[in-house]
Amino acid sequence: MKKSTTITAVASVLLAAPVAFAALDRGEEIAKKVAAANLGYGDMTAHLEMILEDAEGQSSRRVMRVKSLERRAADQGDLSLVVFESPRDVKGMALLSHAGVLDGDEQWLYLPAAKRVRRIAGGNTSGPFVGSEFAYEDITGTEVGKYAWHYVAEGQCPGAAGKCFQLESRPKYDDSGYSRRVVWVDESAYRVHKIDFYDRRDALLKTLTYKNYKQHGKFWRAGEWEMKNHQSGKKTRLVFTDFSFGNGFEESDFHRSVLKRIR
Amino acid sequence: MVRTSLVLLALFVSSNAYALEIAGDVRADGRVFLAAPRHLGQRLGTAPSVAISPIASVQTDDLTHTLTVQPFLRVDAADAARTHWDLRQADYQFATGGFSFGAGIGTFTSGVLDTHRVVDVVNQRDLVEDLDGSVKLGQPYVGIGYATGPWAFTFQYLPYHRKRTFPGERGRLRFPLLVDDDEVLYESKLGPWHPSFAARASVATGPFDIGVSGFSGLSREPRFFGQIFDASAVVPQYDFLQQAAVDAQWTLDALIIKGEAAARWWSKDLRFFVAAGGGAEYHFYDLWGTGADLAFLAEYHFDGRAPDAPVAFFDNDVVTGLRLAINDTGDTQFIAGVVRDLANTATYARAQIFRRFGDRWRAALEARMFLGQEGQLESGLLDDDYLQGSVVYFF
Repeated sequence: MKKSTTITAVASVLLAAPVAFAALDRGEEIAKKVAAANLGYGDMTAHLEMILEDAEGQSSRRVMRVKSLERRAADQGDLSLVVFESPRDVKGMALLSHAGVLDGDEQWLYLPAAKRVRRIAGGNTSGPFVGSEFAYEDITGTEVGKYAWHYVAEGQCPGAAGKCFQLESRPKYDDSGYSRRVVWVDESAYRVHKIDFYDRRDALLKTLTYKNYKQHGKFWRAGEWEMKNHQSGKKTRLVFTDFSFGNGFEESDFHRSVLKRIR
Repeated sequence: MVRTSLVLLALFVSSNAYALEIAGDVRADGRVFLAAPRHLGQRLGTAPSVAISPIASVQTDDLTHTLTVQPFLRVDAADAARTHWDLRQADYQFATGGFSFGAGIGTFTSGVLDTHRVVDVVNQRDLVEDLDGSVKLGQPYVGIGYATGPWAFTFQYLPYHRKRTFPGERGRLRFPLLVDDDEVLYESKLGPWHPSFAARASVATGPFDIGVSGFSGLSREPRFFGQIFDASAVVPQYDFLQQAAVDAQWTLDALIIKGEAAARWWSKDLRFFVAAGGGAEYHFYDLWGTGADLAFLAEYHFDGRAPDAPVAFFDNDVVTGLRLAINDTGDTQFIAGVVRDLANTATYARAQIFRRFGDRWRAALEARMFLGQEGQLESGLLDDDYLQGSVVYFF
């Protein structure tokens, strides 16, 4: 089940802008611009490689195809489908997610060995995925209003040219594993470059770095996400390739009945 | 129908954006039985066995046309009847918008419970492959479907009945009397060619998934008749079955509640009974902050059929189980479960641990135990406790 959580997370990662925002001061304004920069993407597909590395440098790999369709209604989130290519024992395993805004997500998992579609629960908020350093909330817990935003400073972008805004966000929802997150957003295109995650005792826990931004039409996508856990020394990298927008997907392409045809 | 299929196939061939995929697995199993065989003619059964199940598919990039072929072959050193092959799937599927059409051989699963699903009656069970009925034989079908919004509808015409597989004389995990499946009886004059029909409507709304289904045709469950000239063997008979069923699942976050029930009219006399089951699953995510998931499962199964109807094992049974997923890079999982008959206390227990090694290998260890008293339906298995080790390569 945890595997499915990972997949959803990964799917949602692709769907939403890296962070969506809401709140009080200038931080909120900037946050809203980050979210707005991704509105109207329509649909997309990408190839994703997830590389898990432990502190000793041993690594394992997961390869998947992801596709998503934007839904514009206020009470509906996006539709996404993630299909595993590798490891080979889960090849063809597919996770379909209908994201909700108020009602939570509806998710179905297709297990090719049993040729069975199962409705599954979304999983928990602060837990990690399959040995990965991403927590569920790192990706799905990003809806408007879930954080209180605060403008911190302006300065050089970390690891990139140009100026960045530095924002702080504190989760407003229960069960978060974090006390706060510090987010760097560039001033030119409102792309997120880096997020520091502080645990509940306010010690630096993880750093997420977005690399290799490329523009697809009017939308920017990072080609690589690197999440480093400072406390365990483990690292998870997400490498995205073959982005494709405007595929003409329809809602019927994301119906649970299509899962049986996934290859 | 044939003409339509040909037209669709022509479209398929003329469509240039398609992908050919070949995947599947090959496995080696070794079983060790802990006690000497109980029944006359049985071998010890401690032996290796190998199986291969490739799956080849051609699919257009828009998923409109899909051709799939998935054969299965097992070679078993201990029991000739367990050496068998099957086509799990060999079909063509067409889909556009919410409409779908499929024809060929397929494997279909419905229902929500984990250990036994009264709703799930389309495919015959491959009993020599797994005693618990979790493995199915490919079913010839022609089907149509329509999906829209939260709804999905399917209708299937099932022209041919597959007979159940049973262990042979030398095989373990069988009952005292051999099943002679060369002499299969059918209630229908058309024999296995008596057509069956299956229909299903389902809706997913918020945390609820609800399905309503019907089946009319030949039962996949046999009853057994003694033979005049051979007292050591029985002959399976497949009777008519009409079934109306409902299944529902309520998916909360850590808690999942499930239930399914079937009203059945069995044989041409339409003898009525009800079979039903209900259960709950509870998840402890991120156990003690380790990232592991622990899930507990409890199910109850009831079956009200008459004693002369096909044998039902899940007639008044409680299932308890757990699954621990470590969530390490090898996806190590431990699964254990116990099925207990409340009426006669016959008990079936199973434990399994498996993990992946590298990208393409998986190893598994499994133990199954049968407990109970003599003189019961299940007591034929009492000496068949076994351990199994498996290595699987995924290509």
